[in-house]
This record gives sequence, C-alpha cells and structure tokens, in this order.
Amino acid sequence: MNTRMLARGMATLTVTAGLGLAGSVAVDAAALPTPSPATSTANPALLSSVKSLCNIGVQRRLAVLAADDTFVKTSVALTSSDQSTLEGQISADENGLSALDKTIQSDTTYAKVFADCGLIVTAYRVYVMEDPKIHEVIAADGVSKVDSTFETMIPELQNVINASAVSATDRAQAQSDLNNLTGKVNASHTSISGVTASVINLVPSGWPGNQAELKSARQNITAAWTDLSGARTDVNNILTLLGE
Amino acid sequence: MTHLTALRNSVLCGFAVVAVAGCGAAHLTSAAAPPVTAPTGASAVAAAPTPAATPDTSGINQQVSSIDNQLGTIDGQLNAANTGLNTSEGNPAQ
Repeated sequence: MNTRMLARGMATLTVTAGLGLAGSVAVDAAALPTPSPATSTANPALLSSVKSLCNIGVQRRLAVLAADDTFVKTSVALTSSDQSTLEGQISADENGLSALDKTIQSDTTYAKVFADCGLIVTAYRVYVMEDPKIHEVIAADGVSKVDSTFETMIPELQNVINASAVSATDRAQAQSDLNNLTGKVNASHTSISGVTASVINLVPSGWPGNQAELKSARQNITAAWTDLSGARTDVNNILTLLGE
Repeated sequence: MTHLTALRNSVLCGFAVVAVAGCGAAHLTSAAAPPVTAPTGASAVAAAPTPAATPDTSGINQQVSSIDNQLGTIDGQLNAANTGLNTSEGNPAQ
C-alpha cells in the first residue's frame, strides 16, 4: 500500500514538475511527499525520471549564471572589487550546482533524491536572489559611474555658459538648468550610497528575509536612474539654449 | 641792408614752404600706406573687436554619449533584476 502511494506521489511529481518546466505551474518543493526509505528503490525508472528533472533544473540555473557571468565580465561600470566578488560568487554557485547534480544522479533512494533536489532551490536561490543581486550591483555601480561623469561635466558646462554670447535671458535659463542638473546628480549620489554594499554579500541562507534588501536596493537604483535621466535632459536643454 | 633782410626772409620763407610741403607729402604717404601686418595669430585678434569665444563642447558631447550608454545599461539591468524579484522559486526543476 505504501509502495503504491509512493509511486502515485512520484508520478504526480513527474507530471507537475513537467508542467512547471513548461512555465505554467510552480511547485513548492516543501510540499512534495516524503518517501519512505524502505520503499525507495521500488521504481528505478521513476527515480531516473525525477533525477532527470533535477538535472534540468540545475542546467537552467547554470545557464542563468553563465549569462550573469558574461554581464559581469563585460561590464564597464563595475568596480574591479565588485567584479571580482561577483565572479567568485558565480563561480562558487556553478561549481556547487554541478557537484550537487552529480550527487543527485548518483543517489539511490527517493529520500536522498528529494532532499538533494530541494537543495537546488534552497542552497542557491539563483532566480530570486543571486541573479537579481548581480543585476542590481551592476546597475548600482553604473549609477556611480554616471555620477562621476556628471561631476566632471558640470564645471565644463559652467565654463560653456560663462563663455557663451547668448542673450542674458538664455544664459540665465541655462544657469538655472545647470543648477537643477547639479541637484539631481547630488540626489542620485545620495540614493545610490551604500546600495552595492547592502546586497553584494547576501546569501541564500538569509532568504526570504534578505528579499527586503533587494527590493530596497531596486527602489534606490530606480530613484537614482530617474534623477540621472532628468539631469541628462538638462544637459540637452543647456546645449540647446547655448546654440550648441 | 634792406636787400639783405629781404633776402633772408625769402630764404626762411622758402624753408617754411618746403617744410610745409614735406609735411603734407609725408601725411599723404602715411594715409595711403597699407595697415601694419600683425604677426600671425597675435595682433590681428587683438586689433579686432572682441568676439564671444566659441566654447569647445566636444568633450561634453563625448561625456553625454557615455552617459547615454550607461543609462541604457542601468535600465536593462534594473529590468533584469525586476524579473527575478517578481519570480517565485519553489520548484527545483523550474
């Protein structure tokens, strides 16, 4: 009887996981039936199917991490320190997931396969934590880079305004735009301060509590981006007023 | 004596006429002469009315281009982060 119930549970798992692979259903690993070790080798074919699904899950996460690694390696905004930290984290996750997959494929009991397969989610949190964290750090360092570029540009714009032969009215408007621009860059600098440090070392064991850090970081980066976009518009206005 | 005085006056008058004529000629020559050529790139600018300097904005344009690229990248990274933050991860096989 127990064997039949277990087989039914595994069949259900296979079907629902298959649907999950199609992107329509998310199955909570914690809700999966707990198999009895005594009956764990009852259906090798079913065990193999579950292992196959686990392998697919690992491969998909490795693909996400590989894409993230490309972003990190090619980013011109990341500081060398942050780049090194993220590359180390990605590499550790890739190695850990690959090793976990090997473990799963060599597991001989349902209980062990279920436990190890669950670690694909709980030990890495690739989709909900690692991946968004990497994107946020790249974005936050990008904001800092743009801030720095603006800080170089502001005195140059001031010189252009001072040397311009436009009317006093246009010059006053250009100066007002430059003052606005400066305020937005300062606001952006304030918004982004500490954002990278708040997320770059988040770990899966802190989930779901550390989700709040990720959401707060997103909010700050978005605010900074909005300010910088406004500052960019100010540059256009200034150059237009000055006939550039 | 009268002749001597008259002769002296005539001579002085002649000098005066020559001097006046010479001054006039000199003045005419000066007016007709071309302006002094200033050394290249120096006095010519100083002599002209001071125009407003044309600021060089090429550096600013390069910075603007860099900022545009970065803002696009930041936007893309934010969107990618949003995807993850709006996802649930409960299924190992997903």
